[in-house]
Amino acid sequence: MSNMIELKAVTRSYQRGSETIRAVNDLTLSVAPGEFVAIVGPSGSGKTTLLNLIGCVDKPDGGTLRIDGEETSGLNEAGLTKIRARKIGFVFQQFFLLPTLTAMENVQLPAVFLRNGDCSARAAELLERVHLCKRAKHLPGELSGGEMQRVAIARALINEPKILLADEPTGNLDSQNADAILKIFRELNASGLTVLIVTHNMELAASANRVIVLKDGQFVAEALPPRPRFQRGTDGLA
Amino acid sequence: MNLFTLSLKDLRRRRARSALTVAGVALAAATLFSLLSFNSGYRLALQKEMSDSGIHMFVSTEGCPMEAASLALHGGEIPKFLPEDRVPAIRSAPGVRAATSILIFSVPGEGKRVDLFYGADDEFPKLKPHWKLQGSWFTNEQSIVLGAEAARVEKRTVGDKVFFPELEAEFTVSGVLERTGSEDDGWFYIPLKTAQRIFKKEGKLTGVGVNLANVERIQETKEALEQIPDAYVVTAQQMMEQILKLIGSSKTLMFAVLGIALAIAVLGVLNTVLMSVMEKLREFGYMRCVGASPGDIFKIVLSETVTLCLLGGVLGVIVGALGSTVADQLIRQVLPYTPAGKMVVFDASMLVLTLTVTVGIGAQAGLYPSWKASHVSPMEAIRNE
Repeated sequence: MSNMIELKAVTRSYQRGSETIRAVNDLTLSVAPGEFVAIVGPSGSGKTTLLNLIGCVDKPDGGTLRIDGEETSGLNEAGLTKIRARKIGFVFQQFFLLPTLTAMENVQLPAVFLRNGDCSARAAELLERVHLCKRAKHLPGELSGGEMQRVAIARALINEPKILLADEPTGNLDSQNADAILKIFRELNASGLTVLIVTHNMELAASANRVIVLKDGQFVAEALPPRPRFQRGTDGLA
Repeated sequence: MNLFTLSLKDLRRRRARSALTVAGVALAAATLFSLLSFNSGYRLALQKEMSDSGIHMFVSTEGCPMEAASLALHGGEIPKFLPEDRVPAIRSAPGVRAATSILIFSVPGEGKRVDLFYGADDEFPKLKPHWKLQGSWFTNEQSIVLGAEAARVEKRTVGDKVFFPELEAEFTVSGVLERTGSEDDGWFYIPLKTAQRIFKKEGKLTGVGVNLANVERIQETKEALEQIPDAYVVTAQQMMEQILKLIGSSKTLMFAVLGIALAIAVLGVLNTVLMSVMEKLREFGYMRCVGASPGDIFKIVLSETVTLCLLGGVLGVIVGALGSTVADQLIRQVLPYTPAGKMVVFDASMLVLTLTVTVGIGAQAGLYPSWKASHVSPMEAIRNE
């Protein structure tokens, strides 16, 4: 079976003044379909840059990157947009919900760009799945951080992506909400979705099949995750 | 939900700013609609006035055609007069159906009032077949026929006496003209001989109004009339052209004002949409992250611009239509010659043209902000997090 994500000798550099920063440095990585991978490492290690490259919001300077068998390095903006819209669901630390849209409309947004017709039933189903059906008509400003992140997850799933990418999805949440998000990721992965998470949260990393440790844009370790010491329930979340 | 509803949501988010922009566009659209309506209405009103006057040609003594036009249509005084003995020659010219001798005087009355006296002969009613007269034309030398407005002001009807202290003359109303909506409504029509006697212009005329049996032979008649000594002939068409030429510079000025109004509206739209785009660059970046193409973003912003302009255009047309009477009065104050009828006349074509211009120009103003928004990199939005 071919890999869902495949990077070969990928590099990505930034210019900071006269200095060139190699955020991702000659990195090779394969993620099989249905895997749950956590990327950890200190700040500035290149985790987010790696996730952005995989999410096709950024382009590598060198090397090759394949998403679901499709080579993306040579794609133009339209090609990258298509991959982002069809194959990837993105969850950000800051949620990135549009303030003028209700929770329901935010969930539907990616489907609007795909011209998927009326997807309100699926959006409602996804909100139900993240236990937010009663908050469907609320604007983001009326939701708590945990609720906003759950809306963002539902939004990431609306186009039925093959890969779910999450950048510090619990970074702005309290432990109770973080556990709820973790549970959702586990369920999604159990249903066959490939999940890649950048996190500092070791409990979240412990849920992954594989943990990749980055430092200075390179792998320094790859290991099976540590077993979680405890799990909280998700009832009564804010 | 679709791209259009996304743009509408954003307009509603900044209601005050959107409303002000719409008001700016509406002002420009109302100006455009009014001027288009005036441009067409003025010519129609002028044509109607020419037609209602029943005068295909005006024969006066030598002078400028504008003066002649003004005399024939609105009244007025000139220091030169046409000898009355030229009238038989005018009547016998080929193609002439009727020719009426006219002596016109304006007399200051009380306060700012000016009474307009139209000395006319018995040929005059032949030039006005559309007139509806209550009573009859002159029955004797002291008869007077009142225009509808003159009768209203004087509060007189058929059989009443009217005394003019400034002329020291009393008349008996033989007829009252039904309202025509033209200059005719304001005149006091008195017998020509009486007018010549009162104003001490015996044997003299302001001019002769000529009605043709066959308008197609106008040139032939004109050439024949020009052979008469002292006769200066101006056709209705020449009068109209002269008037249109005269108001040309005023129209240029009005369209220049329109140009400025449109430019201000376009800059207003550009400013509003550009500000909105700059404030939402990150949101556009988020949209790009979740699958929006540059074209999608372009459409969202352009829809926003077009919606603003369309709303402004529709509002402007409504304001322009409702305010046409006001526009009519304003235009009258700046033009050197205005026909009596309604000058601001609009139809569906002006509505379509106004909306097309408003939306077209507005959409052009939205091109740059739309382009700018569509070129936001998703990476930029995330990086600025």
